[in-house]
Amino acid sequence: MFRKFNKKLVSLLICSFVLSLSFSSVVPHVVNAKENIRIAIGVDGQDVVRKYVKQFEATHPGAKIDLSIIGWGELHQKLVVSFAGGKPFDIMYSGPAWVVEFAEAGWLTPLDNRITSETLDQTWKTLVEGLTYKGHIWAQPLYFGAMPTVYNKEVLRKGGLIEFPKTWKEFVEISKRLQAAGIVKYGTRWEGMESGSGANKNFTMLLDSFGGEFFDDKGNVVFYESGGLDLFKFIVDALYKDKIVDPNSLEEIELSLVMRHLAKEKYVSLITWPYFITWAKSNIENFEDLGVTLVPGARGVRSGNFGYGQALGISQKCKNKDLAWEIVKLLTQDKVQKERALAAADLPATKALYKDPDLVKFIPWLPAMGEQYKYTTMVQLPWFGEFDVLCNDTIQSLVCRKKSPEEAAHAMQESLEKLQKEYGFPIKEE
Amino acid sequence: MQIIEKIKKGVNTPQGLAVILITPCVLIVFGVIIYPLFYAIYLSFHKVYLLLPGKTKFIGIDNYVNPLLSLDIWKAMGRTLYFTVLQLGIGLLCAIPIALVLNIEFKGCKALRSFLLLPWALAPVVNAILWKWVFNAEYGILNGLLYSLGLIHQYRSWLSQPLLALTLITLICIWKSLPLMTFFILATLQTIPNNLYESAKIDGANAWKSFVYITLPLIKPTLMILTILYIMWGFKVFDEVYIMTGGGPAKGTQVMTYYTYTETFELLHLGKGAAIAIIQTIIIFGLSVYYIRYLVQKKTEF
Repeated sequence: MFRKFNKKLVSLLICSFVLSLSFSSVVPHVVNAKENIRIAIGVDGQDVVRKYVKQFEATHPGAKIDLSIIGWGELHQKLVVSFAGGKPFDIMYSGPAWVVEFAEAGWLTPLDNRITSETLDQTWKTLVEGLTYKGHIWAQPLYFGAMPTVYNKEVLRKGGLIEFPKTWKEFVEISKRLQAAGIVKYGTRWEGMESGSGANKNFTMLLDSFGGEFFDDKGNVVFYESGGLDLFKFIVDALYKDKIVDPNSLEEIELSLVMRHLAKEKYVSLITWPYFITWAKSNIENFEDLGVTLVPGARGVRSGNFGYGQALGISQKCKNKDLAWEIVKLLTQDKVQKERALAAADLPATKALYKDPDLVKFIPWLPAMGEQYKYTTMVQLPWFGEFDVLCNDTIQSLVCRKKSPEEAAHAMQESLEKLQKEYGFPIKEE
Repeated sequence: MQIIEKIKKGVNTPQGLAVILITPCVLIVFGVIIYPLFYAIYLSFHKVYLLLPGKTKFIGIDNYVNPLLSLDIWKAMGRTLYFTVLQLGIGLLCAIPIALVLNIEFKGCKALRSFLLLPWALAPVVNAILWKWVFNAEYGILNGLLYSLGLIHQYRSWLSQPLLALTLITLICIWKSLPLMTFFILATLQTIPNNLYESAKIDGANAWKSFVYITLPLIKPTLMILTILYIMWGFKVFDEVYIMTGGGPAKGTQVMTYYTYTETFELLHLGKGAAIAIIQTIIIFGLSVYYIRYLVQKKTEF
């Protein structure tokens, strides 16, 4: 009996093992006649993407698209791990912040021969520059954005002001006046100063508005003298000396709550994401009291901003690049960009769409965004992760007063030089 | 054929059956624990940056030496020690009196014991989210309560100052772990015979002297066990830091585990992250060895 039981048990174990193997990737699947294309994108505009993916499959019976929608917090890591693990997605988000990393690692296919000059001419210049690296263009533009100023018109009116200030100095003076008159509690709130927030965006935006930059055209680190120190002094003074910035900025709170505060005249203005302005349009009663304009400037600069965007890239390991390109063209065409914008996702990458009547009707501040795009910059680094962590740590040391503006600016300068030396990029011209 | 016969023979014995039955478990343990551990040791001797796949190379002990020469790891270690000492100190100071009270039989003491277990039953992530809301600068009930009592004149941001944020994280971990400490001590208190206290009372000892000369020496082994356990667990704190502060502000709550996480999963420096994790493992392993040795030592005699 013992022997019989053992035989049955061994047989059961062997069957389980074989069954588990047959469902695993170790044993090849039954021959699938369809061409499989794997796509990884973020959550924004996913319904629009799903619709067009289904449409593509219907018109291309030989194609099967495996669409993965991944949260922003995990997307970069997921893409990197899949690339490094040798089983990358065929098509993936490859925005300017990532394109340099992926291209440097040899993971992306250059698209110079596929992207037309018309597409590049019609796309916002900053985005095209952001997708270009070492003379090649690596991804097809999908959407573009910057963080404009949203202000409360009613607050300005009560303060006897007609237009929003053009410089940071004017903004500080006006905020103090409005605070003293009891019209607002604070001038603004610093966004992106809290931990884990991707402070690099707001940092770059503010630095650009001060006419500063991290690296010059020759690859030298110029942060300290190009405006970094002045920016840090401004950030600290605005918080602790002039007190025009909400001290609770240092803690993350929901953007919806912040927008409501703006509408209820707690602040004069905010610098925020375009999709949140779209959200406010549907969710805030007195939305018509809000206006959109350029971020103020300093040191002779009219304005500055951080340009962000996304594009679709094709992996080097994609087995059918022609098919992948057909899908990329479909998902990035103007019609899809427009639908995404109308679905309250991000704004189009194509310039002409900023004059589209349907879009302007739905997003009345679209022309203001087009104006802001003239004053945008991007940071291209293959060590973007380190850069982001460095920006986070520096800004927080500054606003928590662990470092003075001089110390923080010096530390930032030295850290950038150290990272540049370690990674050999940006390449310094001799 | 001879081999097959031998296998068949072996399988038909109790020992053979035991081997068959534990093989799946061993495979899982090997795949999930042993192999990753050795692979991490392998990685720790290499420069591995996921975003530069062609630049992986053997660098010897650089991944161990370089972090130990930088201030970051020592600051993270310091924060971890601050967390651990505070958690242990305040935890024991609260747990002992609570255990003494729970040791008294009164109406409702069983229900009270069950109720006190609730914080411990919370998942760490839930605990962190709950307290993050409590401390929220805009709508947190802590601000609401203090404002209503007139102790503050405007809502403030509790998690935006490095030391305060670390202290608050420690306090919420104490709140969560207090039931476990309390019940450890309570279990020991319940093994102390009552006649000891009766004899002491007859000899004129008051409550304080009974506590100092009877209770404390007899719960000392339990306190030692708790000390070692909580030092070990102190090195593992992560969830609360991740949810509440993300290691900030200004790295103010970046404890050892979060430092390891940042290097490995945010910066994708697998080699350096593996080395830091192994340094931490060695520390915890040392404590574990001490803990096990202590357990087998002689207990305090009555």
